[in-house]
This record gives sequence, structure tokens and C-alpha cells, in this order.
Amino acid sequence: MKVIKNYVNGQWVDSKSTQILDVVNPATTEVIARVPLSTPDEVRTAIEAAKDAFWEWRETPPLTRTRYMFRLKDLMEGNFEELSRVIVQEEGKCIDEARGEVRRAIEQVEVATGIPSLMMGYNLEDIAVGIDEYCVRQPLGVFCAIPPFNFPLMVSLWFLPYAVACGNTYIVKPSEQAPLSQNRLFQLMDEAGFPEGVINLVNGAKEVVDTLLESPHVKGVSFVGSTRVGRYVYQKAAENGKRIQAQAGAKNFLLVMPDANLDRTVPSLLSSFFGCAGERCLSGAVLLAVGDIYEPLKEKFVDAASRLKVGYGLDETVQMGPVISKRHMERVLRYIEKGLQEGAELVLDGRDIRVEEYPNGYFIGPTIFDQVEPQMTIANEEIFGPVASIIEVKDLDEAIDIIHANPYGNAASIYTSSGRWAREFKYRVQCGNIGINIGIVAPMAFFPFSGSKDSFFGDLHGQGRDAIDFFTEKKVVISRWF
Amino acid sequence: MELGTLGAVLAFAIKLEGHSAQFYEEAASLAKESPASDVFLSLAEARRKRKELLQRSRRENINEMLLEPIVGLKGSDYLMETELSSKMGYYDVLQLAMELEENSRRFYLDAAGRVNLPQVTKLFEKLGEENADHKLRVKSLHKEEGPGV
Repeated sequence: MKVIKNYVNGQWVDSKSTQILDVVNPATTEVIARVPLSTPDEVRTAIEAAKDAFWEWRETPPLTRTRYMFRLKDLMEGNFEELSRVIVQEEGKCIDEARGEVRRAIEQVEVATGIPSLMMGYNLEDIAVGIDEYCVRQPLGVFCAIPPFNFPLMVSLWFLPYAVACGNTYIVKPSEQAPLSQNRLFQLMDEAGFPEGVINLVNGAKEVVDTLLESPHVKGVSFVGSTRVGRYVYQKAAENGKRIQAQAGAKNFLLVMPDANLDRTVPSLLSSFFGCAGERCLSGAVLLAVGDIYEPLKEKFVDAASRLKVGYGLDETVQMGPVISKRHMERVLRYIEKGLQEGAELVLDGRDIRVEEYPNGYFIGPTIFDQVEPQMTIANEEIFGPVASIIEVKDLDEAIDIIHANPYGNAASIYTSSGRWAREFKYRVQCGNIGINIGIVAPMAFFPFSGSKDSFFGDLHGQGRDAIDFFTEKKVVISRWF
Repeated sequence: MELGTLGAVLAFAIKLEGHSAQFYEEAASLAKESPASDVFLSLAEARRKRKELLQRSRRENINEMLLEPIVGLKGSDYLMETELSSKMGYYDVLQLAMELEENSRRFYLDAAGRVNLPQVTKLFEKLGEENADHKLRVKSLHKEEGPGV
């Protein structure tokens, strides 16, 4: 089986590393590719290439730079279904989920084509008589992204299009567990004709990350992953004087009020808790049922979840795929065991699921715990799998207290027909992404992907106007002519 | 086959349009000596365009935030035999075409009521309405050419 290549300075290059990992299809458990863990020297070569390409790219007019983005968009549209299928095979999500990811990825490129307007500065004449002042935005140099496995195509595009359209050059270190869609994306970017060195791809793991973080030539880092690694990347990047945005872990609470429309709420909850097998930073993790809604909600939720079809995502009828790896499956199963040990009631047990055609796949069925207490491990720690915990609460205040006691602050949602409760929830809850009758609060490309507390380290988020601020420096000029 | 995901519904719809286009091409060939042939060819073209529209919808309208399970839609409820043979009479072909259109209309309106994405719902409603128009077009051929009308 061939080892996938790096893309450096406009060329596809074999890594000289002897450390090679298998890329495994989580449903079939077949090895579908092999990925190198590139060496520090190979990373430095990519950094040099990006550095050397910077000045000429920076001098390229923004409008010209965005034309590459238009070409990239067309190429991604033309290869939409293929990209979707690659994601399914490397990551495990269902084909519709993969299509949703590809669409979101394209949206990032589309928004970045607005850079000529988005990166405009501002000015004022006569700050004193005959003296004018203006502010311009300028790119800084080399930036890099360390995306996660769960959205292997999309996440690098939360950053790269904005960075590059603003005039920076870029390096992506894809997840070593799911590198193939990123690899294909770079083939398309190569076809789009980006000049050599402007965009680079280096496969690998911690050594690659450390080399990027330590290099004085890398100006900024964008990371998405766990809180443990996010904190590490944040600290190391800051120690090395870099800009850093690190989107980290989550434990998202979905609150259902007594006046919620249950027929519309339950399908939304299913999507939130079990979509992408629970492997999303926006996935629902804890269901807070307020007052009288608790019993009917639990009944409908458990019943509907029990009917979800689990299998290989290339089958259009499958509604939930496997988790990413055997190791992760075992981790999720340990959490389920922990829930039982701590006294929660397992009302839907996903451990014994069998997918006939793929008996060795990393499948866990939808799993639901009831009678969960807020202090339990399963209610507090990020499981990152298809495990939902139900907590019965007496009112909105108790629900918000539980949410705030949790160290994460990525997303929270309320299901209600009351504008008053919705406003109060939105106003008070300390989470970056708030949903009102929406279970997956995924900001569109023109908004920032927010997050707070242990879910985000840094000042500027990915996407939207934040991206422009992150990838440019403001330069203020005061001029006078004699 | 349970159409429990948007992808499954769209895949079914795309196949439906493909089969319908093929049906009308064959019907046009059988009816080539009559004015019905042009109508069938235009319906075949319409079905091909609808297939492209559905494929485009699958690319553009799948919103990850709103992907929810679909309940109560079974593909088997909308399967019908559409095989033509040279032995079939003219009216039999027209009758089959009207049934085809009615079947499609029923599918799209049922699916529209179950799919959660507004853009896809609107598309299905529009396609269902078109099927009603197509059926009327075929029915008018029946009246024009029919005996004793």
C-alpha cells in the first residue's frame, strides 16, 4: 500500500520518515492508506518554502488572490461527491454528514472570496490640519493549522482560505487518523494553481506540531482538538511568540423546557447526540429535562434513538456510523462502564450492537443514561461518542447552574416555545455557541466559531471577521506632506 | 427500503427521475408516428433536468445542523412497474404515463411533509406540482386521441 505524500513548495514529496501509520476505515477496518509521520527537517523545509513564497504572494493584489479561491470552489463543487465518500471511508460518518461537511468547507472558501472588501482598512483626513491618518491591514507571513480527525476536510478551511486570501502563506498538518480528504483537497488546490509555497501539507503527529510551534518563522497557529492538547498548543505557541487560536473540547448541555414542541425537539436531539456518532465538539452530551417534560421526553427520546440504523456510512440508509478507532471505541465503552459504576441507569445500551456486514467495525449503538447526577463522570467529562446523559431538573435556574459548573463552554441549547425563556437562556448562559430550538449550533462561515472557558484558548475565533483580525496586523499610518 | 435519511430520499428521487426519463424516451420511440412522441420527449427532458436539480440539491442543501432522521417514508410504497413493450397499445402507454406521474406526485408530496430542510421541502413541493401538470398534459393526449371523445 502506498504511503501518502506531503505537498511542499508546489510538489508532491515522499517523506523520508520510517515511522508510518495505517489509515483504517473504521467501519470495515480495512487499511485504506498509509501516512508518514514526517520529520522535523521536512517540516522546516515546508516552513522555508512558505516563508520564501510569502513576499510575492503578499504583493499579489487581493482580487487576484481570491481568484484562486473561486477556482478552488469550482473544483470542490466538481468533486463534491468524491470528497464526501473519502470522508466516510477515513472518518466513519454517514454520507449525508460528509456531504454536510463538504458543503460547509466550500462555504468557507466562498466567504474568503470577499477578502478584497473584508480586509479593507479605514482612514480619516485632517486628524490635525493637513495631517491624515489611516489604518491598513497587512498579512504577517506563515501560518499553520492543526485540524482534528472528526471534520478532516472542513476544519483546515476554517482558517486557510482567510489566511491565504489575506496574503499569508500556509501549512496544514492533517490528523494522522484521517488525512486522506485533506490530501485530496491539496490535489485540488494544486490544480487550482496556487503558486509554489503558498499552500503546503505536511503529514505527521506531535513532532510535526512541535516543530511548527517552535519555528520563529511561523506567525500563528490554529488548532482544533481536545482540551488537553489545546492547552499544550496554546501555551507553547504563546511561549514562542505566536498568535494562537485553539478550539478545544466540549460538554454540551441541551435543555428541554416543559413547553417544548416534542415532536420537533426529539428528532433534533437525535441529530445532536448521535449525529457523527457523537464525535463533534457541538454534539449534545447532557439532556436537561425540566419538570413535567421529563417523562414524555425520555420515553420518546429513548424510543427514537433505539430505531436509529447503525452501519457503514456509504449506505444511504444508515443513520449513524462507527467511531474513529478501536482505541476510541474502548475509551467510550469505559465511560459507559463508569456510568454504571457511578449509579446511572442505562436505559439504552449501545454496547452490544452488531453490524452484520462489518462485524469488526468500531460501532457503538446509541447509548442513553438516565438518573444521572451532575457530579458523575459521564455528566462532566467529554466522552466524544454516542452517549447521552439525562438529568432531571426542576427549573431553568437549576439547569443554568449545572451548565455553569461544567468547565467547558462550547455550546448549549434550549428547546422552548417561550421567547422569554429563550432570551434568558441566551443572555445568561456562559457558552460560546447558543442554540434556540437548534441542537447543533454550527456557526456559518461568516460568523465566528465561538467557544469559551476550557473549550477555547485565545482571543480570536476561527471564521468570520475574527479570521480577518487573526490573519492580519493593523498598521496605522499618519502622513503629512510639506 | 426505509427512507430514513435525507440522502436515501434524494437517492430514491434521483433514481425515480432517471427511470422516468428512460420510460418517456422509450414511450416516444413507441409512439413515434403520433404527436404524443414530442410530448414524451419533452417529458423525458424535463425528467432529466429534474434529476440534475435533485443532484444539485444534494450538493447544496444538506445542512449538517438540520440532518434529522426521517420517519414513515418507505421506498416500496412508490415502486411501480414501468416496463414498456411493443405489444402495448397507445392508450396503455398513456395510462401508464399518467400512473407514473401520479406516483411521482404522491412521493414528492409525502416526502415534502417529512423532510426537515426547508429548501428541500420547497423543491419537493414544486416537483409534485409539476407532476400534476405533466399528468394533465398526458391526459389531454388521451382525450385528443381517444375514441368516442
